Amino acid sequence: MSGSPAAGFALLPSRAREDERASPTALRRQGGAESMSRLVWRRFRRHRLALAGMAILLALSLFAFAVPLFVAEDAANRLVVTEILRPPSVAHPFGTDDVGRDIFLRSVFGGQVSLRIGFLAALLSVTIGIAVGAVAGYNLGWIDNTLMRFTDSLLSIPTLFILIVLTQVIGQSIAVITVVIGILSWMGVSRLVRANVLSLAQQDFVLAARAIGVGPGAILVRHILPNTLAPVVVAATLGVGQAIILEASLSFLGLGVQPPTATWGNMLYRAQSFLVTAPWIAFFPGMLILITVLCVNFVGDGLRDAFDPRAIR
Amino acid sequence: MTAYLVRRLIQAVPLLLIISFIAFAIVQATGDPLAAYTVDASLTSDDIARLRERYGLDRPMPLQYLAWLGNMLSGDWGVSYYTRENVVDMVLDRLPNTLLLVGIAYTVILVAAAALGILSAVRQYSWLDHLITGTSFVGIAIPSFWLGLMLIVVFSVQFKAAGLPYFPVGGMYDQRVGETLPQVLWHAVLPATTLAVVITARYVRYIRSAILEQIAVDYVRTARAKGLPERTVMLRHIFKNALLPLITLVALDVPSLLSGAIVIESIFAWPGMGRLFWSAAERTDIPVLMATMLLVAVLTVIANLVADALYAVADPRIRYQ
Repeated sequence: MSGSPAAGFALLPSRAREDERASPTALRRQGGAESMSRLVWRRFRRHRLALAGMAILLALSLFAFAVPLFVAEDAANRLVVTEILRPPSVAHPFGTDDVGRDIFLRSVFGGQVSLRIGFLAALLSVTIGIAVGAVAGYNLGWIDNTLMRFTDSLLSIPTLFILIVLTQVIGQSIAVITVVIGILSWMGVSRLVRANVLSLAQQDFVLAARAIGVGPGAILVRHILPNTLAPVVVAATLGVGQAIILEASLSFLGLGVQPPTATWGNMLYRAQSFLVTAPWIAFFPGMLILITVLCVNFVGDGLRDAFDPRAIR
Repeated sequence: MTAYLVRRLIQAVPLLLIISFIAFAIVQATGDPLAAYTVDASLTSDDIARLRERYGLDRPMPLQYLAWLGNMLSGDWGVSYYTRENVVDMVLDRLPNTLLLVGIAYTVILVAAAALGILSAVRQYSWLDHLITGTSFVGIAIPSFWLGLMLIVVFSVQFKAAGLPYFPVGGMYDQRVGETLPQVLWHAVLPATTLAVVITARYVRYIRSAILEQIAVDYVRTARAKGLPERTVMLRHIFKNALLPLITLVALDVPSLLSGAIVIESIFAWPGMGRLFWSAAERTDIPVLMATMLLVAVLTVIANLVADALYAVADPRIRYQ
């Protein structure tokens, strides 16, 4: 088939036919949209680990967002001098920390912060990634060159290094950390989108759209980007897990979200001093991070298989 | 080949310039280096203005950058704001320790990932495959700092309590024994393992699927058809092709290993670049921050260059003009 506009030109007689099939997305809008998402959902359901992962994630989020409706955050931050370093028990399912705070309650409130940072940062990074990738892939030449060199440069400085310096500069509030993590993790998505845009821009349906006079902006937004959605959704899902771990690493070093606000990362900040006397302080928050990221990755894998056009199912 | 490498080296220069400019701009924003002096009552505002002029802090940022770049290239990396030590000495002191840790971690990663990945592909769908695949899923999701803490709980705290030989919780060597090779290696076991686990887990999955993809390919059928023993098909044909892209993966993971080093070195009190950077970040020690960030970027760029060169050597299909 046509690999370039020139080759498409040679296929002039078939133009009418190409017009008819226009773009796959146009077809989908005419009533095929539901069947696509239903197809993906049907394949996703077969992935048992992904389903289980999604269920656990929902349960964890429900806990993290519902419990705070009934319990004030003060309860998680209250220091109880008589209840210092208590091992897990009925009264304190996860035990208490070195200043007598209940680790279970802190895990709930911290979970809310960690999950929120994870999801919002991933959303932001995907938005930036799509924008940069689309602009670069659709404006070859100096714009593409500049954007890609910038992307390469950012990829050459290890993320945690810039993250630490940037949060020192701008501040260590939850909002700032979310935005900074988002700003530092879009490079993978933008490369992905750029490569997809490059190859899709050469396809017949794009040529056809251009032939009937659709403007470049509309072609990009309505014809090209919807076709690159699948890998982006997968990357976004996996990005949630990476963002959660990144925030946790930062807060673990004491350079992230500051106490008394709990996050799964900063709950581990002082845990190292109590590994001998009270290992449970370190155990539970870390276990929750592990479970969350594991589930997020399962969901991402399930989505990848469900979107895979090569799958016969 | 040589021409290609030279060209790549030249291309790396603007990349490093952009990186250094980004780093400089961000680090400059961390705060006024003279902030500590403004509260000192014995200094008048004239004194501070003079200091500002003397260190060139009154000039616009791009000019400051150029001045800094010139100093950097001539080997003058400044003095730490806090310890008054020469930054070149500080960094050169720590760099080998980080390289040693990362080097050990990479050795662990490659050996373990190749062994486990091959094993799990060859015995596809066996209980061993399920075990390896399951474990690597967990390994990918585990936060490395937490893994470090848990390894300390088990192999240092519990082992010691149980009277078993236990691993040290921090440092590079026992002060009483001195910095000998067995000591350093013994102290590196836990931090290097912690650093290696996440990437090993990812590579295991990669190697497994790469091998399984190769098994159905034509040249493998040809090799079998001409009667080669299964062992030769695996070792000489499949592995070679499946493991080739690992070279690029290894280079791409250098930044994430160095990021990991910040966390791991701070847990295990390993005197490397990551720990130096962490303490410099806590104190906004700008010369040290800049030096560590740049060195880390240079290491990343070099790793990419080496990977490209190795790839060309390993894969005869690639010819660079």
